[in-house]
Amino acid sequence: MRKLSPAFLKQCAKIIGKENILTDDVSLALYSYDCSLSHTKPEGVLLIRKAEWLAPLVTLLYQYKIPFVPRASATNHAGGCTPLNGGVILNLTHLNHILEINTAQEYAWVEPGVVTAHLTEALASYGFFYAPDPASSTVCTIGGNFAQNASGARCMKYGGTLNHVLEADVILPNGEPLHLSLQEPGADLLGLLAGSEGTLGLITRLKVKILPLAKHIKTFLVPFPSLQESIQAVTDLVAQGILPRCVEALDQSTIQAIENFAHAGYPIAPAVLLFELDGDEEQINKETQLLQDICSRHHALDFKMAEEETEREKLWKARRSAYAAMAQLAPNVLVGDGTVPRSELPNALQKIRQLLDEHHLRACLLFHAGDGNFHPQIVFNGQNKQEVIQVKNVLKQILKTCVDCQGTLSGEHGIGVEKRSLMTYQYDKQTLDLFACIKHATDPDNLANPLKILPVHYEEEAKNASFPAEYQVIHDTLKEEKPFRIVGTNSRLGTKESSLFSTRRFNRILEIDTTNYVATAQTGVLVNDLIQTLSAQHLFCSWAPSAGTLGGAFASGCMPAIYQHILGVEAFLPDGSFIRYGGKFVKNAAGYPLTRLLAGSQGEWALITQLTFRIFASPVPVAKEKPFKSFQWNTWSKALKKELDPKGIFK
Amino acid sequence: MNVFSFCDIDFKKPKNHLPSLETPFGTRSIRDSLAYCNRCGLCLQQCPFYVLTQEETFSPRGRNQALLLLIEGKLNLEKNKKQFLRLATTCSLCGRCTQSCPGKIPTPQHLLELRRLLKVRFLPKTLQLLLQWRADFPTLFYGLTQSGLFLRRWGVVKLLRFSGLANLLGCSWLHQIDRMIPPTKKAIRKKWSILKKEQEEKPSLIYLPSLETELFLPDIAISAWTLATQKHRPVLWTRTPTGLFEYVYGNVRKARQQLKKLITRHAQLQKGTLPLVTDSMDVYNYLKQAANLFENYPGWKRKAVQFSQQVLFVTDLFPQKKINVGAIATPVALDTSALFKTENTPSKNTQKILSTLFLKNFVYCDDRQADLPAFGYGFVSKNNANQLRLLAFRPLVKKEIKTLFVFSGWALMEAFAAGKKHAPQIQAMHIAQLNG
Repeated sequence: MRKLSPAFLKQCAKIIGKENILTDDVSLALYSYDCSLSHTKPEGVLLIRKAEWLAPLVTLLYQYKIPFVPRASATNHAGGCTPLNGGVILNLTHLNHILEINTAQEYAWVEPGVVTAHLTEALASYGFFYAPDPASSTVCTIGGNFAQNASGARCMKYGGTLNHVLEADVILPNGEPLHLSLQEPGADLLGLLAGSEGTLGLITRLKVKILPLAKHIKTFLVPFPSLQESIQAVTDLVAQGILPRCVEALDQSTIQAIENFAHAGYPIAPAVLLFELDGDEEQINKETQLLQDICSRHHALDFKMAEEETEREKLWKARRSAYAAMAQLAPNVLVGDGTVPRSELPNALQKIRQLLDEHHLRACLLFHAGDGNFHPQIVFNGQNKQEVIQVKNVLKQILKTCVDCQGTLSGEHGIGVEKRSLMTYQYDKQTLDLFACIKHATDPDNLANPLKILPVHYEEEAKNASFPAEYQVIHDTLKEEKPFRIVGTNSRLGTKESSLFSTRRFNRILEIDTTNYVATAQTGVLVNDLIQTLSAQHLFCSWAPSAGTLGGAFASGCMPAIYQHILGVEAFLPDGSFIRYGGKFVKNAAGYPLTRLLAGSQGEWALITQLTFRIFASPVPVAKEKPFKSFQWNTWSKALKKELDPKGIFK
Repeated sequence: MNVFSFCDIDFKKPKNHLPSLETPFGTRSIRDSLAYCNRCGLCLQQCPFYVLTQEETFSPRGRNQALLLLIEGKLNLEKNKKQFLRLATTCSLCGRCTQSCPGKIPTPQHLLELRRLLKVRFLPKTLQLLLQWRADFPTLFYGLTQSGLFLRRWGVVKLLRFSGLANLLGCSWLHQIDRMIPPTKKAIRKKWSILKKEQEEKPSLIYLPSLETELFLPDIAISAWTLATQKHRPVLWTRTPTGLFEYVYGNVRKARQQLKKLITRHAQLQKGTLPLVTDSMDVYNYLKQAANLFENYPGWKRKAVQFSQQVLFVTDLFPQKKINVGAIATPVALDTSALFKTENTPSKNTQKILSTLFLKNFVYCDDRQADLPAFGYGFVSKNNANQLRLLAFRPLVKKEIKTLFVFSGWALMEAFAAGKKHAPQIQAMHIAQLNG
């Protein structure tokens, strides 16, 4: 194994002190793992006790070209914290201070090592809460949540970590500090950093959104005669305009396994849903009535309701004991993570159960029914190599099933090292190239958490993307390599340049899916036309009425509140390659969030052709339109521009 | 059963290690038990040392992984002895990790095996010797401690400390012990000495006071005795060593011998059907897991199982009628720290009792907040202990706790010493004293 050079160690000691550098065998072995099956030893462990140490330290690492992996509680399930290319582990657990809580403006500044549950506890005394609640919230950290874009059960209503981070202080892999904010004009680079698994830089401070605690919460336990019926009930509930705080689901085998362990009194039914509603009393009572009606319409076998904290806790008991129930069955448990559109859940789950039965594996299937994210927990014996290989293969097949069902490889656990070989199954070559470009522009020496997310050799395996014939004109224009400016109706930019390319000609609303509550439209569609079409079907969206196009509203940066509702995107890059990202699923932690790279990008590095976004059955707060401001460049965005558009084709 | 265990490493002294461990999910070899760790990290924030250091090396997960690598031969013990010593000496055996672990991995038991492997004792040598003699020469030990206490009352201990003689004699620990022992009234000491003499011929219950209660805290012993005699008469008091000290600081073989004596004595009285009550949660947990020590002795294992079924904690004797809480200052909290803490019934029952008695004045603190982790048998270095005490007292002060109930004499003594320094307004009480 390589060793850190004495010269580096000497200089490093000057910054962080000798006592904070660990190079002994035991320490190296203890920082070689996370919650996944991956193990790799680092060359050193650096204990970061002060945030100020990070910038000079990363600069030093950059000078010596030493790879680094940021690590906090290491609860990652995909091997995101293992140092594949050696180098050092930057242990951030000491950065665990809540710096500021501002209840008037509803935000909190925290360091990345703050444990999620500790923030929730601190906020509770002020009558506030932090919405993302990953299952490991008692131990995982906010920094880790942001790096993985973790979400948890409440995601359906409140969204993932990405939607709750407002500002951040980051350090780029070359040691340059940078302040990123959602409010700054230009591409949403803060969003791009979410889910980047530490491959694009380090976070030293985060400003997170906090919300007032719900006055009333009610929990419901409803068994159904079939999975299909249960999922249909959720769809109908959403169709009524009700967004529950959480909708957790368990299938029959899972309930059986949990009941044997926890004896929580869950009914043994083909499917059990656990709903939670929050809000004011009147609203909850109304929604409860509707929920009861919907459930009985779908032949619910029972309808248990709990309002008091202790009663609610009883209902949650079995759901929370799932991992423990599995953990006591065999030495080890592998927790998977995949997401499919909600409508595909019954189909996907049936296939996965079949797959598990074929391989004689014991597993429980838990899923967040609201957003189509599920976590198979497979029991195996880690000491039996054959069994480990089998379990890994089955998990890969499960994830492929997700992609086959129009889903994604990861909803919240990330790609890390365990799933990176499957990236070619989900993404085509051009999209993977774009991921590689982003990484190369930000970290040309591949120092920040190297060899993660992207497969090492994907060029031959990945398929080429094909684009619809109507976009041939874009492709031809780009091949001419003549610079031009992208516009929609030119309402915001108001430019009088001659070399303009308008997306207005691509003006079709391609799909309005009222099962998943998702719509897909070309970027040339006028926002007002979209609102009109939707309202004719009694549907709503959060786009603010505007004379401009969807693409304009999205790429101009005038409606940052809309970003959280954009689920998928298709676009052309300056070199003529066509990329596809996202889909009808709410959660996606596979690869860099390209929707955020293109949001507010003002046509600097992509020509967006199509957007997939959430729609609603009842009126939702409309994104406020801000006045147009031109792109504010920083070193990172400049590097991205240079890498993505070296010839300056997009003006 | 897996053939791998620590026996393979320390093959010269196989009897110094347990061949397997009893876990809530069955008997496992140490290697198997370690292999059940999924590295989920749910134990991290429960470990007082991890909370203090925020380093993987001092976390239950890290300790288990290091041990696994040691057994698998991927880490060399001789080469990394210093690091392993650090791992072993920074666990207070409080068992909170096991409580939070989905697989209920007995990490403190693993650490005990590591300590035995490293032959680590932690205690000052003179204290170690003194306690070792306890089992072999109980009368001499008792005489010595009583004389020590007598001299302490006359200020001799203080004199020894200030003159530096204590250090010369290798008894620097006297200072720490001196601070921990609360003063006892003469009348109470007298009462306890009378009660102890009342040996009953046909008892209906056996009372086994813990070492610290018997020697230093007679008021607790009297409370527990009174509680026992309310329901059962006559009560037999016994001073038979349990082997707990040997189990934690000595070797398993000696602990087994002590335990055999206790089980035999218990079996001789009314065919082993008498309930045996103790006032220390440490002793209770140890005796409840007595079968752990007899894995290779099926006959004794059967006896140990039978014996452990008869073991009770003082709170099991609480009267059904409402207890008069009298002048207990509120709000109250409960410190659940104990050696190898398990999710046992007495602990849950006590919480129920306190919440019924004090209603909203019983402040429920979760494990992370309420425990005094350095207490009991899990001695840690002085510096670490001070920090851990501070960590434990901070939330109690924040929640304006006036009375802190504890489960063992050691915990009371530590709470007394730490309370004096960090929060004099908090009064520590043993749970047996709740009944007056």
